[in-house]
Amino acid sequence: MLRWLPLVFFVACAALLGSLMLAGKPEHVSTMVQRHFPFPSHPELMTGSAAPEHPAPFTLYNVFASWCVPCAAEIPQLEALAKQPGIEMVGIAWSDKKEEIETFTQKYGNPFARIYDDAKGAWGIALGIRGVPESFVVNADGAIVLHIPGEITDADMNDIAALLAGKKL
Amino acid sequence: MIRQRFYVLCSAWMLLLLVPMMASATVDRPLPSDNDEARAQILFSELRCAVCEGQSLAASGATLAIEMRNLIRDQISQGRSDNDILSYFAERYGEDILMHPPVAERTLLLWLAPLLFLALGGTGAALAIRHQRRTRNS
Repeated sequence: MLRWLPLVFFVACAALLGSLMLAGKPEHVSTMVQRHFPFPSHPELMTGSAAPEHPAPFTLYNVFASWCVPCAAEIPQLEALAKQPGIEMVGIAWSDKKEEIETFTQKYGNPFARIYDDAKGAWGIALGIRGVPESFVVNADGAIVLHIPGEITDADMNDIAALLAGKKL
Repeated sequence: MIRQRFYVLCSAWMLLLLVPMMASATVDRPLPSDNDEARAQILFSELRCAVCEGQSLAASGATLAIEMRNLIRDQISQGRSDNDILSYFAERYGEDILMHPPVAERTLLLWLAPLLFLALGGTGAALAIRHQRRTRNS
């Protein structure tokens, strides 16, 4: 009986680890939702007009870069959102250069009311980004209500529509 | 003549390959003080790269990792403590960004696992030895 103990132990371990592996990676839970949207003391404007004194009910901050393919792919979604009342699109050019961003917006379009320069990437890191694009929907009080890691999906568009309709997520 | 043209074409091609390398302006900016840079290097090995999770921040070449390393250097120059810097990242990325997870109720099993396995293996070995002795004696 005792002889089989190592084998039983091995099979039990293999089953446990195997099932954990097959279950896939747990998704990262954003630690940013409901927190105050971090704003640098002197954000540098790349294009567009300065932030309004009274912000729209919602602002969508899109952290993007000129070299990023999914960032270009989600420009139509951002342009559709920019047409909606009650929400403003703001770009954060992450670890990039002004000339590159200009080429990008000329090629793919510019849905942003303004684009801030995050040349050193520190703003993005303060937001806990793991890549570009990532989007943050912020309410008029400056609290993050929605964190979208990656490209904006149809489900995210529905969430934003719900927010604009006055629903809570 | 043909060979010459081939060489020109090759060198042009190689120059073209250099373009994306020159385009990425993101480079590490080591601190002027050796002491500070050594402190930064230790912190890099204490943090996980957020894009390539098997690697530490020290080993990664990803743009995000380079920007994170430079941010840590900036925070060191601003006089922040090691703990401040580590918790700055843990707050934003979750505790999994730390290479050494904190000792807490949730991570107790993780920390005690080596002792547990040692006890298990030790018991197994003791039993096996005792069994062997008994069979030899009889």
